[in-house]
Amino acid sequence: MLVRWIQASLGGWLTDGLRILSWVPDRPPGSPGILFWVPVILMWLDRLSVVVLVVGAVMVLVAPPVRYQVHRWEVGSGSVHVRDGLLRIMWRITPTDRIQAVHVRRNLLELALGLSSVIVSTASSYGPLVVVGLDKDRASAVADELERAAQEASGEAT
Amino acid sequence: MSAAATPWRRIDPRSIVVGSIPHLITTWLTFLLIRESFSFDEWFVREYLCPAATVVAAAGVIHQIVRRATTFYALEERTVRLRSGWLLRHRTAVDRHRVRTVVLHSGVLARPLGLTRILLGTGETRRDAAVILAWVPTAVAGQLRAQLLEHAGPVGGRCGMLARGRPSWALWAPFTALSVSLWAGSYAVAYQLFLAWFGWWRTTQWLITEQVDPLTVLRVLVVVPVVIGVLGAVLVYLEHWWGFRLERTPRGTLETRYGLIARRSVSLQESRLRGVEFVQPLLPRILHRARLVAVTTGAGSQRTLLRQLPAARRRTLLPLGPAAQAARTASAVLDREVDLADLWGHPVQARRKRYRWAVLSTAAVLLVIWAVFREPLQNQVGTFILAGLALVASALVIAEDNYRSLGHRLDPCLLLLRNGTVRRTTTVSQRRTVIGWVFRQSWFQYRLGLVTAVASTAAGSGSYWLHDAGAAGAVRLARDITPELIEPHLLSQDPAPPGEVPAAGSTIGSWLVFTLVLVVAVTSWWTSRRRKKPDERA
Repeated sequence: MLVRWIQASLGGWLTDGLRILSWVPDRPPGSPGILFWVPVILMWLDRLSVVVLVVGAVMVLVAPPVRYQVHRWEVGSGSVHVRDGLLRIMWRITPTDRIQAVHVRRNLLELALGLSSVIVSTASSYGPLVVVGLDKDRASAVADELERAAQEASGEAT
Repeated sequence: MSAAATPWRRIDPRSIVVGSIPHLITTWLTFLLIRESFSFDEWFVREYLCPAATVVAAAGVIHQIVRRATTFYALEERTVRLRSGWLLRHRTAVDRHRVRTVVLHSGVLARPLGLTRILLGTGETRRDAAVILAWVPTAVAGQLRAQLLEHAGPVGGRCGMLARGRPSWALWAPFTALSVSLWAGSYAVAYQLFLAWFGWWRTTQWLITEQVDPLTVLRVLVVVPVVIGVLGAVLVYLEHWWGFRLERTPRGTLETRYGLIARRSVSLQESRLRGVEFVQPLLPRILHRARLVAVTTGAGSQRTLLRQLPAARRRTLLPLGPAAQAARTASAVLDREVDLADLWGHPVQARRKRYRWAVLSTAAVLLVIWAVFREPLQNQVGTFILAGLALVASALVIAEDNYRSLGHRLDPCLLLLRNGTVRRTTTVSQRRTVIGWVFRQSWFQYRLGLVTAVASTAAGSGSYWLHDAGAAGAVRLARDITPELIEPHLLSQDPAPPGEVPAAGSTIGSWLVFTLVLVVAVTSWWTSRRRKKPDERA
């Protein structure tokens, strides 16, 4: 049934959409008032809901395992390396002497699962390096190690 | 801060004049515009409009007087301080060591009065990060600059004149985007004036009664805007870049000076110089012209600091001129031989990616056009197909050129990166300025075995992009530049580090998407056609 609903919604999606775009809607005779657009907007919301549903399903079912597979981190001698991403994978390598601050984050979900994230902020335009989902003891150990490495390296960290 | 010890100085009293005149002119023009646009009664203009204009004009002048009375600056041992404002107080303090760029600018009004505006650029990238000091006497401005950049850092090479612009270079200015915009703009202005003053009907009548040759009309319509565009571009170039000279001072700064009517002077701290960039728009590139721009911290991304002198122009080391001269200047600035030829190419997969994007994006555009304007286009399918083919062909040409633009090379001290079609840029950076790496790989790049490597430098100066390099090649390049950063991570247990990505996947995926779009479009067209038939019968 769901499949049929999706088919029915998407089938007319393009044609109706394009008809509205090209300004030849099935207007009733006479000049339509503002109420004429209410069903049109509702129809579009209906179609949009299908898109949201499909994208949401993908994000819930497919994205987390892929993200988990992609996400890697390591602390080398003098540098931090984090890999993450879904459709676009990023490997980021930053020297420890460029670290500005190290945070350990535990939000509600992480608290419930006994996890922590390590956030390494640098002066990079890509924002901080984030290592998600570490065991909480491990996370604080990593954060301590990075802080020590950052303190050892002198410099203005820019 | 001890208020008594701070040696506060005032801005020049003549800045009241320089600040007021533009305000008075704009007020007067606005008044004229309002008076002419609406058909007001005489008494309304006399009783309301004139007094209102006077109040606005007076308010501007008073503001300038108050600004002059309440603005102070001070040059202390460690900091530069600026305080201003009467009701809204504003205080700025900048560490003198943070000042990396000093721009002196004296415009049309300020120059005859001997005044100059000073802009101090720091390493920050916020919009209001710079300090603007307007206006001080030109001699004082020169002293201030000398004091601020007293110990700018080590001198990078031979001092003295490094490059000098020539007036004849202005002959190439018509081939820039400015010329085209003037050309198009003159059309727009002429059209508006024409509609306002004459109107279509009267002009047509005049053309008919005077029996003007249509060919003459056409000639005027084509020749006049082109002449305006060409002349305008040449004049703007001459005014802006007249007497351009680039010097290296013993203080450790690079100084440029230029301008015919308004005089500009930019000092860049040489120790903050990360490299240089050759900028070649499409037409100048064909004509072997290039502009040389400094890649530096502290002069970079703030675009709205000084509207008369946008960031890109502030960092100019040589205006649009012969490419060979630009290369010589780059060698002198970096104190190393810069050879722009013989860059290493990128893998053929990068070309395939560009071709695919060219075809798919133009096909998508054409499909949308067809879907939206289906009914008017149905009578002209042949023309539509021909135009579509032309569009695809030009997209393919651009794709090929874009692929050929890609290139990089690693010299003993320099890293050269080149890319871009409409605006080809070749970045020549010093290897030692690279401090970190980011490798990016989209799904499409993964399937083609490509990777985009971004070498990051110190804050504010941005990053160097190596677009669509082979995965293994990019990692090798990064390792050659910063072995201590890359090598510890190469032997990791990463399932697919950049170096080990399989090359060149099949291309079925994108063709599948293409076919899907085609099928959806054809189906929608077909269903809409079927739906219409009952109406036609009725």
